[in-house]
Amino acid sequence: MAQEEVPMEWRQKFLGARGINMFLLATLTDATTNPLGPDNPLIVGLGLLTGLPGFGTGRFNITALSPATGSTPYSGNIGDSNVGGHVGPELKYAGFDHLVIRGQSSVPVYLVVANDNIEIRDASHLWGKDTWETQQIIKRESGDERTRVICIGPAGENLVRMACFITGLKDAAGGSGLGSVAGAKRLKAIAVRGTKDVSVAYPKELVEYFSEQTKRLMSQKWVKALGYLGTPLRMTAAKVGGWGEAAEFGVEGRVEEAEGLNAEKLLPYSLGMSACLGCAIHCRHRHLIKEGRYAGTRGEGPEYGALVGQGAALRNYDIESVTYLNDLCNRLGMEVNAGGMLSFAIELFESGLIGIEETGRPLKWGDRDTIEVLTQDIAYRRGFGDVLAEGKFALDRLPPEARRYLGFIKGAATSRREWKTVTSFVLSQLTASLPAHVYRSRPGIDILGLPAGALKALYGRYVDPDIKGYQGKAFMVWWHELLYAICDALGCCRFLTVFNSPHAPQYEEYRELLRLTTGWDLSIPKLQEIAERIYTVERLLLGRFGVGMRKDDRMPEIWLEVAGSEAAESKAKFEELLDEYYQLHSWDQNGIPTPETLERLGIVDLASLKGT
Amino acid sequence: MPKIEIKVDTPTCTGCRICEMVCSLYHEGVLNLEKARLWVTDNYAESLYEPHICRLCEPSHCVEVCPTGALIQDPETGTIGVSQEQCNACLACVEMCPYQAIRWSDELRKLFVCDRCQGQPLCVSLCTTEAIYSVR
Repeated sequence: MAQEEVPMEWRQKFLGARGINMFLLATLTDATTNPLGPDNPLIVGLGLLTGLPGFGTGRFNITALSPATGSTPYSGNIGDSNVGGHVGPELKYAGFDHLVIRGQSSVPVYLVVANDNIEIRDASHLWGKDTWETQQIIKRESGDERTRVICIGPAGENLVRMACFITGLKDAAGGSGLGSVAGAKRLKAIAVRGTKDVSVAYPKELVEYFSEQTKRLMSQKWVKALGYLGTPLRMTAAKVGGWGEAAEFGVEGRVEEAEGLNAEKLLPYSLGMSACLGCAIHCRHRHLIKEGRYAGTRGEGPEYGALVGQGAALRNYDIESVTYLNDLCNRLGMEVNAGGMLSFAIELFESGLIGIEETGRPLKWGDRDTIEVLTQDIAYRRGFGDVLAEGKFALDRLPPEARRYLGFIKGAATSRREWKTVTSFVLSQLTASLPAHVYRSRPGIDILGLPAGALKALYGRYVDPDIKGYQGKAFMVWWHELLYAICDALGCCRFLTVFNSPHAPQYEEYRELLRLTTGWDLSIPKLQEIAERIYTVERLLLGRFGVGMRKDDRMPEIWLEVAGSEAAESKAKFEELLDEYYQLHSWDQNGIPTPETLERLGIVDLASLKGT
Repeated sequence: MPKIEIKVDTPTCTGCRICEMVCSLYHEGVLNLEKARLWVTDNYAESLYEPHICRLCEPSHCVEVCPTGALIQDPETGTIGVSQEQCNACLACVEMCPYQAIRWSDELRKLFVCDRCQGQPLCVSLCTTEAIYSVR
């Protein structure tokens, strides 16, 4: 075990969290690194402002090669999860900014991090426990309720490729299957307690600025709505705004039935809201179901993602069942809907491609019992669950025709349900540096129905207010990619930047926060250059895995099928958007960063990552 | 400074700990939740949080129980002043406080109790759910 200072050069180039994590991932791995082998580094990285007063600064990133999106079960791809809660700030208070965990233990272990010290402890008694039990046991053993824990559940232990980390009751580091990377290392948990001082450059001024900004934020309508309804408000907003798609309304667009999953339906179960550390907005419900079949269900959430994943996407419109299944996934340490594999399995069954002989039971849309059993079977790799636990690699054990039901973007599986009619959303998902990720660069401003003048005021140029239009959309995607790269590198929450509102904090506010906390006065162009550097390193990493070129930024066939008669026009228009998008990044017309760009960004030494 | 009565509405506390963050920065000049003059305890399994802050009791249990006279209540503001030099670390005040609002730091060998920020309690002004609120 070794401890080192984070070099100032890394800070200047990448700030922290996602930025430094990606640099480390690029330098510590190569194209042959097995994501479930000992050489895959599990990198925990805090933002420069994580744990400090700011805009949702409870957040940090966990980064490693993903075992879910590589070209084979033994090859990796970029993996990254951004997560909130309390454990990231606690790590800052313990004196650490980044943890790089390599190797593989022969027995289950967990890390105890406390004030400049890290210890490896036996976790035999924790292995097999769910994420809630694990955290309670560790807290009890530490004798300190303020010990914060991030851990994996049975899904991670069983190397399920959709396994995530959980901290608290529901904060999940998911999306890249990194829970299984920890499982392969037999690393059950990281427990953290920190009581060290964190010095800031201007304490009094920081408190004043934070107070002023918090009050400004809390006076805005969108913040109040988020604090009252939580992320589920998007279920309602999608309908009102007319941009809701198959995902929000169920597989067949069952708008009426999906009403059962509206944000307001959660309110009778809400005991109030809960927050990540340092966040005034508090966007998650604390729920309790008091009566009926799910009586006693107590936890946090469900978020929008669970309402879609465990709800609409499975045609399960019973909000109590969705809430229960949300908690179940959190306890098992697995993404909701097993990352889409539940929907995929039911679709295959209903189409007749697989039957009871394969699945052991009928799989039906909206069947709560089957969903519950199958969720458990995947986490424990029982029966047909073992097939689905392989994620997209389940295709190797399914009839060849099953391939028609999945599409791929940079190696990540996607379904028909994920097709959207919002041009900027589609482009952002196609170009995302985290394969097919919905939120990596979600440019959610043109869906607000703002006039062209308001969009121009934000972006500094014309952006078509029509969500199906094309003009300015490449610029939007690029602009949000950069802003979110900085947001992540600082450890701020995406929900508190220009994600839900054009009036949210962004570069100017980040700049002032950085100055008051670190004394470091960075210009906005400098921040944008750092963002460009982070995004370009990620693009180089994608290139290393053979998915970083123009061919990898195109729509999968199953989306074009959904687009129907508009497909031909869409294809041509998206090629034009890509031309513009690459120019904005100063990449070549094949989507590869040019030598001049690498030189300008000071990452020529990473150029060898190009190609495969 | 007038007497500022602060109340707590536990169910609305979100556990954001902004109160602790700004309190330590304002009073101690560093960010350290352990050095805040109020604190929030939590119950993980039930996802519940509870702020603890001095209620300016009259008479004050902490002052009454202090064997060295290290604690003195200001007759005008009701706040508890601490003479750290006189404190013998018996922690009787910590045990007696019905609100668990007075804290001892082993590291600093120091008692922490709310001083109402010279009349403008930061925690109150930044508690967005009014889990901590003042009554004047």
